[in-house]
Amino acid sequence: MHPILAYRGRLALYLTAWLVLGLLMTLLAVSSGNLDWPQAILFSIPLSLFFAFVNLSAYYLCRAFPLERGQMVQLFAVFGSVSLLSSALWTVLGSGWYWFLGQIANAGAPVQMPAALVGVFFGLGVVLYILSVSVFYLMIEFERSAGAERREFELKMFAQEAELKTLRSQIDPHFLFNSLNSISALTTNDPAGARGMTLLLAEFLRKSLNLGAKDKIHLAEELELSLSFLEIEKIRFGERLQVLCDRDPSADHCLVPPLMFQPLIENAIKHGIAGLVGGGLISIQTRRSGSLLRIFIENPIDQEAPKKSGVNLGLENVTKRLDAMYAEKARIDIITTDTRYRIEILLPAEEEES
Amino acid sequence: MKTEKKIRALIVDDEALSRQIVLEYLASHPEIEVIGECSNGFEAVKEITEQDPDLVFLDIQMPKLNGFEVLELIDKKMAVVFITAYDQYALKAFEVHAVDYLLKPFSQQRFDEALSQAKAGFLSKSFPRIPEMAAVTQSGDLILERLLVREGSQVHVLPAETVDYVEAQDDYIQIQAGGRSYLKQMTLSELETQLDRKRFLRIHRSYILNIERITKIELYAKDSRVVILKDGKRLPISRSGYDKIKKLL
Repeated sequence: MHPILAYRGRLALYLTAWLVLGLLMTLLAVSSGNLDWPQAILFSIPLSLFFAFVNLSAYYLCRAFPLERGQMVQLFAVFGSVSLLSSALWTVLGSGWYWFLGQIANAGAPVQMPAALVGVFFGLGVVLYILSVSVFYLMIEFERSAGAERREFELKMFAQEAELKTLRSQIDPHFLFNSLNSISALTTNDPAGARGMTLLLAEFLRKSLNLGAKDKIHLAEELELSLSFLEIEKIRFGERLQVLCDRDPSADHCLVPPLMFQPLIENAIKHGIAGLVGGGLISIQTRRSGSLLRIFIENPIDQEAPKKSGVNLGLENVTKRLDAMYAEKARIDIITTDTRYRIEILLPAEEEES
Repeated sequence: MKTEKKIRALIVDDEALSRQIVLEYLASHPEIEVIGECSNGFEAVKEITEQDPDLVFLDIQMPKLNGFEVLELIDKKMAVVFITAYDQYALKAFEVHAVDYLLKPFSQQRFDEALSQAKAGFLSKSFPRIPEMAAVTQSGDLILERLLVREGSQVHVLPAETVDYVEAQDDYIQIQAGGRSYLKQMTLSELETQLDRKRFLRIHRSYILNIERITKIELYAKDSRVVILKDGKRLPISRSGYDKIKKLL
């Protein structure tokens, strides 16, 4: 695509610049003494516009001879001769046109374009052509670097998307190992329990695979998934794990990113329940107020445990995902006391368009 | 002929089902007597101190103290078999001379292998005393976040920020924290490498100080200074200690 011809605005600007040049040429023509003002305008404006279009073609030459190291001699030769040629053509046409207009003005008497004016036109033509060539080279370079930037940006977006996809499908493998260990322990003494746990595990995995493939799911589905995860962990932790789910029915149909709770619930187990001798209660609460959806996840923590100084990967993943999806419309707050850890998530309450 | 003495074993895991599977696998080994089960680190330290088992099946991630911290607090000879779902501790486990490292879930066959390893160890009496292990459990580039002190079968967990200063007492260190002092078998230099260097400074051959406790530094003779703590306590500072403090403050 031609960087000037293809855009109406740029073309208008370009031609305006040439019109200004045309006015300058009018002054020159008037000062030559053979033409009056209207004739001079009639002489110079078409001539300058004509050369404007000639110079536009320089773009194709620039594309054909890209700027490369070691090609400078060739470039000078090409553009030197082309500029001389096109300027010569322009000057010849100009003097012809001058002669024609002069004849009309002087009623048949032949009028030659003054030699000084011919020289000025020729020189001007060469300079203008070379100038156009440089402008086109600049434009080409600019376009190329902008393209590279855009490609880089596109790559980054793509990588981010891929990352989000893997983040969402992340289920802690240790959860699986621990569950399998529990099943292995149950097999001898409680075969029915072992089978029950196998089924729960299968159900959870199937659900998380299905839901994980979607862009957004109903909050109710997400809650069910978290609850079936906790159901499995209950077998492992026994009495130590209690679960309370307080859901707002009007929030059930809101759309949320799938497996958003998973890393948070895993954290609640890993950094909460698993560190407490007596375990405790994990509570999940959903609330909808108008266009806002609020979700609370709370778990007890061990007072004496050292405060985790490292980054919390699970929480970071969720924050990243929400940020990518909702930007400033979503918020995550962490409220901790000595004994409790509470996450508050604020989302726009989106519903499926029916 | 002398009847062979039974091997006395302790099972430490916070999950009942995990303890159950060890019990089940042990059923076919009558030479091993299970003397107890513990579900957290504190209990484990208490039981090991009081009952002196030959063999401990030890989970790593547990409430209160993790498996490595339990070992750090014990100075007994015994065989340790780690049992965990996490493979990232395997290297550390062998650094503390664990007999074996079982990954959950494991088979009876794999469990039996670990047992024969332990028995072979008993015959050659090749188990190191645990304090040697403790030095290893604490090495590494992790900053010590809490100090563990055992008094009899009681364990004190001292968060690093509550420590005022630590004084060298021969092979022991005396830790001053929360208005009382605790004795621990460790050298000051060992401790120095593990504490957060932004907070704790070796100000003297015999002292490590929590710099947040400083109120002022006084010159009391030519070239010798004392630091005065918030509770009025005065500690000597060596010249290099003074340079370190100046650099940090």
